[in-house]
Amino acid sequence: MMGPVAVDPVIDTLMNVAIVAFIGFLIWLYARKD
Amino acid sequence: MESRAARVILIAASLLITAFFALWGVIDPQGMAAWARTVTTRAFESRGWFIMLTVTAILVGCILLAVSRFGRVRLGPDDSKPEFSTLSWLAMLFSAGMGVGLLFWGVAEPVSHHIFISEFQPPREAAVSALFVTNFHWGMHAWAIYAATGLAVAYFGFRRGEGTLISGAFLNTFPDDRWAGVVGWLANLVAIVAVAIGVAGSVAMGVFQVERGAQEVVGAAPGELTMFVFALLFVGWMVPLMVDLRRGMAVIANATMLGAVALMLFILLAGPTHYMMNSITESVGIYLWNAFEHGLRLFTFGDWRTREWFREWTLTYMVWWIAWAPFVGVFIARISRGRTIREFVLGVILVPTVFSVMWFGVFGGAAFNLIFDRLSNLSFIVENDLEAALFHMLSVYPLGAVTRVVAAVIAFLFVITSVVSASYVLAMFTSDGDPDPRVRLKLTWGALLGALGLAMVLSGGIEGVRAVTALGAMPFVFIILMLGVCLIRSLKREEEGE
Repeated sequence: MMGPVAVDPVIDTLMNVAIVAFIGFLIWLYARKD
Repeated sequence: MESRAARVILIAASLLITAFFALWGVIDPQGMAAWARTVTTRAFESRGWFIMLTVTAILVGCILLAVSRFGRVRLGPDDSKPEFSTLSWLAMLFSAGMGVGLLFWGVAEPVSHHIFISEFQPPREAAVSALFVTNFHWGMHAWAIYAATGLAVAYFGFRRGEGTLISGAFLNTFPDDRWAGVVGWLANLVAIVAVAIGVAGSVAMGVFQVERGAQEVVGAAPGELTMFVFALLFVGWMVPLMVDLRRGMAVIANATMLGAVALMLFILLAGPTHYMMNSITESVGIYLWNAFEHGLRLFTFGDWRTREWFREWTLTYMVWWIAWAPFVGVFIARISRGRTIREFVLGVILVPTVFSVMWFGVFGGAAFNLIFDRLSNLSFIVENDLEAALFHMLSVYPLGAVTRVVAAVIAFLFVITSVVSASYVLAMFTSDGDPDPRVRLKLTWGALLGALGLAMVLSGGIEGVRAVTALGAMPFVFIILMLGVCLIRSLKREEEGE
């Protein structure tokens, strides 16, 4: 067992923002005109 | 990027990355496993929501695609006919899903969950939850990941003539964009690394399982046979790679699958049959009712132990399927030329799921029967020696001496067939999609998979193996989503008549 996990709050925020941006990119990729 | 240069760099980069992990793992297996556990634990804790959301989105996307007007689109030219009869196609889908994992976890997984869930629920209710969670891990969500990858490979490969490389989807959908070439190249690299590490994880699991079986048969001490079993497996897959035994391998794969089915039927008939039939039927109902809700469960407000359990099981499983997706995806695409998207999605998602529910209903049901009727100390065994779970259960059943040897042989053959097919797929990926890659390249991949597998065996336990596999697979999560976008865009464009 590893015990409670501490996540670096700055890295956590940056990574989550990056993933949301990636989801935005996917939506753009789907919707953009040729 | 010029195509020959891109190919050479792809071979070099993929071989270097896998060789690096193999070398690190052989020199310092515990160090690598500990590092992988730290990295994956933090990533899962921070971005677990993205993995569950992705997996659920893939499942919903596949179902919507199957029932939509695109469901009628054929994976090949409009007049193409399926190469295999529906029955043998379904049988081959079975065999793709029947890895050594089913054997390893058939008893061990439901009982492991039961031990944990019993802390929160009465033991007999916990057994139902334990079977549900196990079925969730092996069910529609897992197969949707394979279906989505296979669908993209089959559509772009057979209908658009792009070959069976992952990059084909990007190059075909965005032919005028420079970035598509780069992303396609990266997608190939990520797929190769994911497959190599994912299959090596199964090699380790197979070694643990075969070794445990061999221990039981010859009465050796734990660990004594590890290297012998590994060496035997290594020779077992290198020989078919050297001499082209394509037809022979298909026979071995089918025999292995039939052996596993026979083992399941034996347990069903030799044990309390009605108990296991009840367990299967109950599992179906509970699975159908809860699967979608569970697909988005993240145990946000659970304590750290529940979250750890969720990370180490559910998230790790989902990422493990993603690791295997390029490999299984290519296989199921190759056997599905000429099928419609609807047939493909429904076949790939539903048939193996039904089989998994039966498998765990039998092995899990039999295990709970032994536990609740106090016929065995199975919970204690699973807690202390996971690899022994299946063999212990078989020893309680009639003909235990025979079935234990059969189980060890099946595990052995599962690993051989997986590694031979994986080496072939990896060699194909690294020779520009050539359906008949050079023997030297196949042998190189066979050896590298061996080295990676050895590194994972040396890490000493299944937890380390799972962490390293998860780490190798994570980048492919992004690729699989982009493949989905490419597929839908191309289908819409095709409908508009380009």
